[in-house]
Amino acid sequence: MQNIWRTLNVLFRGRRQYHELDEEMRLHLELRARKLAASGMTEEESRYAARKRFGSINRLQEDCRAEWHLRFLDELRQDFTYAVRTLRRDWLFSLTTVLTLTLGIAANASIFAFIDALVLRPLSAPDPNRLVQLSAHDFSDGTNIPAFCFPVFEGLTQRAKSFQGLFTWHGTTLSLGQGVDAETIPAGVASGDAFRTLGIRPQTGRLFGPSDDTSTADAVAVVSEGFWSRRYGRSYSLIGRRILLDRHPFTVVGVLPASFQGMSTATPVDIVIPFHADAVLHPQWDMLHTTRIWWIGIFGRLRGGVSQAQATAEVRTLSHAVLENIDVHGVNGSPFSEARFTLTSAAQGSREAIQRYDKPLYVLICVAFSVLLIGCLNIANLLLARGVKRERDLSVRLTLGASRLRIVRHLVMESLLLSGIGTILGAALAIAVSRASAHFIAAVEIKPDLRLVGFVGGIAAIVSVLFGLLPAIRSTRVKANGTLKLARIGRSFERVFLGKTLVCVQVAISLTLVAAAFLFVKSFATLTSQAIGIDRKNLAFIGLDSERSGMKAPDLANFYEELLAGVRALPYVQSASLIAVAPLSGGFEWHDLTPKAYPNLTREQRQLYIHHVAPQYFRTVGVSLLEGRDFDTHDSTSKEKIGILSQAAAKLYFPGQSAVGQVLRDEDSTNVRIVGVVRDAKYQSMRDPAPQTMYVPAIEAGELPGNAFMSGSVWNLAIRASAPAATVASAVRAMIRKTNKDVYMNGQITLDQSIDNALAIDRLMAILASSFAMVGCVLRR
Amino acid sequence: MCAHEAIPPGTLEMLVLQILRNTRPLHGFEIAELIAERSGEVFEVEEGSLYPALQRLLAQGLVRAEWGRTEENRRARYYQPTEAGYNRLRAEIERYHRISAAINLILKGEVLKTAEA
Repeated sequence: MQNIWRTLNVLFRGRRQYHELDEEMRLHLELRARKLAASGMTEEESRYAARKRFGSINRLQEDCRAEWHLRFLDELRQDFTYAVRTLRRDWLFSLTTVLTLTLGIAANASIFAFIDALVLRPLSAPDPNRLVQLSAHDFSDGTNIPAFCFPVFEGLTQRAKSFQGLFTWHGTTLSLGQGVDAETIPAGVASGDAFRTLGIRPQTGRLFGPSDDTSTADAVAVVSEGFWSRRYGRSYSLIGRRILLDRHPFTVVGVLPASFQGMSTATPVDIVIPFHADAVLHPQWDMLHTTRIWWIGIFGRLRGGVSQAQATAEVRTLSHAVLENIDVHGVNGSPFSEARFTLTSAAQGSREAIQRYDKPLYVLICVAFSVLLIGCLNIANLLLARGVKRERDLSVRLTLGASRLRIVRHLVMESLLLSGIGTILGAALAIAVSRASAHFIAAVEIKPDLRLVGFVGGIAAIVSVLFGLLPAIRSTRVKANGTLKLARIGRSFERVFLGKTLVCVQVAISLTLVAAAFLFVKSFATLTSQAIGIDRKNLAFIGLDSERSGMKAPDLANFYEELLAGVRALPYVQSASLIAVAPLSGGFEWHDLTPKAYPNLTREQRQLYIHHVAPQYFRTVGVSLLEGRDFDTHDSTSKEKIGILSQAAAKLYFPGQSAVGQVLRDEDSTNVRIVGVVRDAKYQSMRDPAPQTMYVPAIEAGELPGNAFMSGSVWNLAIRASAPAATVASAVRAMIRKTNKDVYMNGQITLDQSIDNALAIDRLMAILASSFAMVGCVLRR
Repeated sequence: MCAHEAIPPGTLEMLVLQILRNTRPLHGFEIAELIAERSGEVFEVEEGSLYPALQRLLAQGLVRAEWGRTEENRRARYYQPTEAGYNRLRAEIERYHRISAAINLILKGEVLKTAEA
């Protein structure tokens, strides 16, 4: 230890060492000169002679210093070549160790890459730690809701003083282009102050500001750098060009820097438009004034000198004033005026990604770490076994006069070499795995950066200390003359005990891993294969949006009826119908039944899920009719409101009697006569049981009724066909093109794909957990 | 002035250690002077090799150095051997004797041959 300390001391205290050498040599010169003077020289002569004899002081100093450096480096090189030699001699051991480490490190690094990309990496805006996101703590159910309506944003902007700037952000999709060939792109909607507050500079052109975000301003948009290259080949002529977004003309004014892809790492955007422009695209929602729909995120940058705690205190006191003037019912219908604002850090962007992925990812990190642990234990065990042979080697070296430190150094060099190779291979494997599996989790860009390398290097360093230094110190604890004792140590109680403990711990961890993997796989298998009430084979949904077509009620109804007739006439189509919200697509719609009529039901029970469907829907999706009748074309002209209940709803609202012929009263006190009961089917979630559902005719009183979200313009064709979904979709596309109507086709999705999407995280967990468990078992051998 | 000889390569460190043995700690100039004196003024120690040699000994932990004061109250670095230094000195002396004995043997052989001829 002293040796290294001395050397390091010299290496790091270079300047001081120079001074010391300098002083020492000056004294020498002076004494020499004095001696020469004593022998009869003049003072000047003697000084000159001494100087001449001494030569260059600087050169001498360099020579002196070299003694330290060369020795250190020389020994390092010796250790290195010796380590290479011993590892090559023991190539089977080396190979096993390197492979073990490679797998363990790759597992950890890829998980870290996922977590980093989704959760850890800060927004690339200057000083991201000053960015905060607003959420509302709802005391009635204890949840933190990070979504608001625009009036809340306005109320807060007028009052809050803690912020340099505040802005809204929400994700959406926009259709780019015209007609049935338009494409859907992920988009962000930001209020005018967003880019100024974030401190983001354009890659080219300009980013929009507050003056672009008004009801009268020309509609502008900025595109992401990725979209600019992908779609427009980085052409500068895009700036100033008009493009059609949701059939509205927008002028592209600039390109975002490559590092900014939106506020949520989980959902990168291609294009960003101002809030007021988005409001114009959806006049039916009245986005600027509505307090019914809560969906926008509110972000801000703290004013200089204001701490997050101070700002939180301010928004908390402002909660009442802001929410008071807003006729608010929370997302789940509860009065929201009691809610209090709070702030969370937005340094990593919106909390959305974190909330969506953090738990599964942290579970996976534990799994990955267990794999590494198993690997390390395995290596420790190998080292222990190898130790018998090695200890004799080492004791010979000790006897021959090698210092203990030197031997430990050599052993650590061996470990560093192994872990170094393991790290490099592991990092390479991790990058390959991340690239290959990125699409499993989200469209996020996973790039190996310095921190990732640091993380992997850190693991490797810990590993080398764990499995290199400790056995090394153990091995050298024997005295040089203890050669004879060594044979005994090889079989000593300590070694046997240690070896057995290692094996036990390994088995325990492996079993845990396998059990966890089994649970993940089992739960995924159960979820994905459960009966959902719908016959999922050959069933596809094609999304259509007629908002820009200008068609009004009767025309629209005719359009869809003709389209349906055309689709049903296709030879490979068995059956086709319409539904507003495709099952398991993530969307949902509900009505509340009036508590007056159903006093015994809880609020959740009065929540009736709604499906707007055309005739033949049940036949198409394979939901069997238990009682009563299906809708028919006469229902679309009848003035009476009718509905078909799911089994669950019929049991809930009309227990012990037939629901057919009964009347259901909903919140706006309209009466719905029940004409049929169908079997239960999953609605939005694969996890929850099928909810109480009411099906109502898509076309009522000659109109497509729609609702607050749909405004009757968004519909899904439900088609059961023996041909692939893409074939059906292109046939539908051709039919729409022939009608010459500006109807936008939102793409096709099979029910199986919807289920896959709904269970994406479960599937990811199952795949990763089982592959890690497999790696763990392989490592344990 | 008598003719000076250079110190044979590889022996300076041994000589320094020997000089430092059984004495008070010495500083660089004193070491150089003592080597010259004890060699009957045959050797003259060059500063260009003495100081690197001292640093080498320090780096290997064969000597340790402390700052002290000369009689004239000047700061100077004083050297003395460590335990490892004494061990090394013993080994070096042994080695030197072996080598010089070997050289002597060879030289004697030469003398005999010359005589025979």
